[in-house]
Amino acid sequence: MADRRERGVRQLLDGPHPYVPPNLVEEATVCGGQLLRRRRLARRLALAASLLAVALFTVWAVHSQPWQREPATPAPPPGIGW
Amino acid sequence: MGDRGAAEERRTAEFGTFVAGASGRLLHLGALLTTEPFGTASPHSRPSDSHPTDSDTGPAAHRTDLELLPAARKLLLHALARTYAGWDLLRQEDPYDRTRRELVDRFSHTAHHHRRSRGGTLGPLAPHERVVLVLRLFEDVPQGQVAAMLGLSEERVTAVHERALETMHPLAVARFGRHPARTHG
Repeated sequence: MADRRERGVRQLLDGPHPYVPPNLVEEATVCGGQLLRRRRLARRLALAASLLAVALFTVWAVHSQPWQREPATPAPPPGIGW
Repeated sequence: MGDRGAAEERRTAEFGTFVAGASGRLLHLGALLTTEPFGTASPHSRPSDSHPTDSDTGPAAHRTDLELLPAARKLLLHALARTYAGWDLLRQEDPYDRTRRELVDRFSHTAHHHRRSRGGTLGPLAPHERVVLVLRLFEDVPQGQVAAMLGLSEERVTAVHERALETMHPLAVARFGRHPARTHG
């Protein structure tokens, strides 16, 4: 039953394809090329931003050396207050 | 840079071959989704000499009719452009499947523009019902793949397909009678 219904509806959908305008390929190539260039630009910008972030981090790290232990604060001189 | 120029040339050539072979079917798919009618009222009649109409609608008018599928064309153009942009990264994926996926995604995302029927075959259906019906019966995509493409469960796809069949079956009977020819094996 389901199969017969599907066959009928299938026949409704089938048939000759519509006419395709001849300039479709050119249009799609142009649009796709723009999209590709935009994607490449975005990728390059992201790469440049991450490189910049790494460079900034390196400069900061070399400058402030956060891995160095902070010098211990000197103990208060004995005899004060006691 | 020379490398990139050669790659672009190759991509454009391959893409041109692909579009030449696939665009008719893809535009048909798009027109079924957008329910834009095109000159195939009856699939058994040839579009060039059928429809004996009034004197002012000759072959020229018919040809114009065939060229007008603005919404389907827009969908297809969008899908093809994305396929072109991703051509070098297609790897194992078939460009036809990729373009079809892009087209269906685009249609689903802009479904609110296509809710109202434009007079084509699937006009009585809601947009998501058209998508399921077209993928299952026009494209013969298996149920599981349709569910994965649309992000739905298989049960839901079955239910939507069932409802769409219920709506469309009487129309098929009205056009072809109770015993349609066996077009698919």
